[in-house]
Amino acid sequence: MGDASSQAPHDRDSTRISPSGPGGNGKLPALEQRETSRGIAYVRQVSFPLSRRHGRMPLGDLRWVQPGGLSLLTRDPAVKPMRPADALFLDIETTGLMTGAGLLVFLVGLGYIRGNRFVVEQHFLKDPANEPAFLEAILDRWEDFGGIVTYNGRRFDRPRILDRIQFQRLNRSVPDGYHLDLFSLARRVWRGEFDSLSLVDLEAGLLGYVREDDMPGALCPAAYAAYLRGDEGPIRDVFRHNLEDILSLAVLLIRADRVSHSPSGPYEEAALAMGLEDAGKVSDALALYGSALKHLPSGLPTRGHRRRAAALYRRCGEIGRASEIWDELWKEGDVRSARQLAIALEHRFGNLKRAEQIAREALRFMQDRDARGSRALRDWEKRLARIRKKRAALRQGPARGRSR
Amino acid sequence: GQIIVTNPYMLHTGILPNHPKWTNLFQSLRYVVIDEIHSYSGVFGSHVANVIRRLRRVASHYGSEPQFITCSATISNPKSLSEELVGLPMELIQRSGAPRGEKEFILYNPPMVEPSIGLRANHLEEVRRLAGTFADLGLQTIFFVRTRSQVEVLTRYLKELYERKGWPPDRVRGYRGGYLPNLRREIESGLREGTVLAVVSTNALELGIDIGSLDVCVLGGYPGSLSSLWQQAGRAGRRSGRSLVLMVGKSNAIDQYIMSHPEYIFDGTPEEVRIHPNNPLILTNHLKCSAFELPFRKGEPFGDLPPEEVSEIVRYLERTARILTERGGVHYWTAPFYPAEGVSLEATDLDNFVVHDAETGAAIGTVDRPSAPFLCHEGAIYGVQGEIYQIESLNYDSRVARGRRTDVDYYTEAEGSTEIQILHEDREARGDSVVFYQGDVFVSTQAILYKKIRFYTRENLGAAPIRLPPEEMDTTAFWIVIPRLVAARVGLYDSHGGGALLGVGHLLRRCVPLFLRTDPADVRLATEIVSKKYDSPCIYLYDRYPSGVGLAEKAFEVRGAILEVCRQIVAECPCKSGCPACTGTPMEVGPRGKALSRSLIETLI
Repeated sequence: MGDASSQAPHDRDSTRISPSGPGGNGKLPALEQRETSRGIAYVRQVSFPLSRRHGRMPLGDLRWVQPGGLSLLTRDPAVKPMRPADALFLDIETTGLMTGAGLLVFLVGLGYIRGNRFVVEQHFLKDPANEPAFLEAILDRWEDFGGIVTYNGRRFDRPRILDRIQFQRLNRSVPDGYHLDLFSLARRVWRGEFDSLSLVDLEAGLLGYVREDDMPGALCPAAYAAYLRGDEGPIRDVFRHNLEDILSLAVLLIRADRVSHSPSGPYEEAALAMGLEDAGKVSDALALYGSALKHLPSGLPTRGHRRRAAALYRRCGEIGRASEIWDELWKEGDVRSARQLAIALEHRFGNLKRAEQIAREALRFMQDRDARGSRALRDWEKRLARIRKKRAALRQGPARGRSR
Repeated sequence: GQIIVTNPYMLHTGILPNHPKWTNLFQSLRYVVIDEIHSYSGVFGSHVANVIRRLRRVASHYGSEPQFITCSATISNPKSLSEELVGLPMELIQRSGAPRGEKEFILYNPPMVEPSIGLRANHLEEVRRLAGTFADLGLQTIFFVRTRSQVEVLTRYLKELYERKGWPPDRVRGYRGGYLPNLRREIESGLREGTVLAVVSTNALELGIDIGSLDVCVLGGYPGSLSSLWQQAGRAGRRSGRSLVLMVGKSNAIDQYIMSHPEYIFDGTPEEVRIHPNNPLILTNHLKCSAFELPFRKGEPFGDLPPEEVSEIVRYLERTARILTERGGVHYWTAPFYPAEGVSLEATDLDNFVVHDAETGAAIGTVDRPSAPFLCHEGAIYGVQGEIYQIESLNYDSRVARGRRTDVDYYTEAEGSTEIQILHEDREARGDSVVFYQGDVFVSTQAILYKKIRFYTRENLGAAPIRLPPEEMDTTAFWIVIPRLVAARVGLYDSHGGGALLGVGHLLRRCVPLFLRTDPADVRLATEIVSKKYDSPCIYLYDRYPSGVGLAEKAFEVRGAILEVCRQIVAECPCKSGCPACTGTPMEVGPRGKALSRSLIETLI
């Protein structure tokens, strides 16, 4: 397995991957042969120096990633022992998104640091009849690592590979180890901030890298059919797409790591706050929530974040702070927060007048939404009735009223 | 697990497409037992035969060749049906081990109300009367009726009856295929536990599901086949003790024929069950599914389908449908979807409408596309468990209907018209005066209007149009061409000739199930006084399912016997000039309709 540096596209800090390369346009990239216990596997290998940047970030920064922080963000303790310099980035291309015996995995990209280079091996199913060899070669490489980093690999990449291993009855399973799925992490951290969390969109929005002439994922399945029929043009584009995916995964990991020690912007702060809260680090969490909320009204964290922040404030006794947040949320139509606010006003602040006002508003809100018969609606009706009774009792005179 | 109990649907969409997850099962598969194979008839049976082909193919891939064992109720061709379903030679073992308690069988013909027009009391009313008696005696009773709407009507009647007697109306339950699964499970366990005293059902409760042993079984009309009749009758007194089976005759030809020829039930030959696994639509769909499961190699057969025919379909899937791609003699699945989802085992076309409650948004039932223009058009009354909904909107393109609970006192019945074009004549036989054909036709059916019919009085309250697209398909048919001279001699060009033609056609259609196990609704009728192709009157009997499943072919083969039974029915009917039990009422076929039909039948024989 030689270092194919003579085939590496560029050695400078350019951010573009050349579409042409050995083999010329319109043909399969050059593949080396690899021996396995089930025959010959075909792999394309490229490598980059660690100074190479993808989306402004040098690949070499992988060496400084702190798995402890990542495990906090993902709430996955299995990630802690990960050594980022020793991580295997994995991304597959298939003939479709369905499950079942008819789905083929035809390209598996594996990325990792070796020495002072970042290597990407692309295992290609040159002939479906040689699938056992293809799978063996992938598993052989995978076993060298403590775990994998993927994007939605938990629901897609890993199970599909397992399916093919089962179909071919290899009597071998995928290696154990950690599995850091950056898609779950992205959802936790950046969901409110970006409309789309696809890898390509995050790459552009977060890392500032825009691909040129990238083959859309939806066209990859058809490219394999075309290749089998003798047209090798489209499949080249799939190789390139897969290569960019692997590099993106790597720098996304670096970027995610940064969130855990220097979050920027309200979303990252709120996400880290939630992770800290779940790990029991309450005061750190509170500080970060406070910082996140300062960004209101522009650049807001999501409602979910704000509700969590308010809940934490309430738990820590800062009802006033919590109520401010609930008040803002109710102004935006979040009736769950209205409920919290009404409860606080009625039972903690004794402000029955405002509590009644909130209850009336909320009831009208629910009725307008045709929530007839729902439990929440009845809950509001009861609350309103109870508050009115209390206020009426108070007006009779303190001796006969009950304020609680 | 050592034993897997499953059904064709699960095999089709769950197990076979994901067979690598079932490696242990397939590697050690020894026996496959298929129960109730007499129910695998027509389209459904044709699909299941193909699922079995796929099963054998997958098992063989894992090195297994299981032994097949099939079980059937009484039909005339258990061996050949099994062989067609399984694709292997089978040996018949005939011996029944089922315990039988004493069973009394009553054939009850409702009283004649107006003999000259052959009008008998309505069979559903008679059933309703009897229901009161059985309920008074605390006898757990099952009522089998023919159609889903009859289930709704009778359930409603019975609930009202129970209410009037001061009993809880929920001890009466209706049951049919369109109900959602939770509801059906609830009713089944209510029957087993005895909390449900009366259940009204279509043939959905005929087989399989354990509902315990009931005291009485009432059949609202002949169920359409002897095997169904005995299955339904078997719901009473399964294990021991006395039980009663009571069949109430409807005022139609078959029921009346049986009422006067009870030997048909007790001594007659059971029907044949026909399937057509090589129906091109059905076969291609399953070959597609099989190609997803395992790539096809050059020269591979599929069940008993020879390699050349497999190749032809594989070539189509590769070149035209672009679903498979060949490499090194092997055809791989390269399309980005999973085929079994789009293949229904009950139709040749998966296309169901869902009916939603307009108030709650919940789904309340499903209707297959060909039936939708007739059952859930706008304005239709649609029933679930005796609850009436009126369909207020139907979005044909998105296959969604919305119904609102209503209290109206009527139900609806839709009517339509059908046009036939001859595509190809496969077989021809010349009778003495007429010509018989069997071949392929193009059928276009249009729902036209619906009538509103008041409950109980059955008054016609008016009609309204239905504006929905026609249903079109190619299928197989059996048709009779009556030369113009003959037609003139018989009187078909007289003012009511069209009605007589229709009456004879219906009679023919209704007699097909006496020879072939089929749901009578699967054989359809169309007539023309002037057919485009032959310029003469024609009667067409066609398969309801696209590309046909063998019904029209069988009808062509037994045409002599069918015509003879029709002749007997008309000759023996006591009515003067036509009634629903023979050719139709004088209103439908004209004052001379019966005589006209009689002479027509004579010429057909």
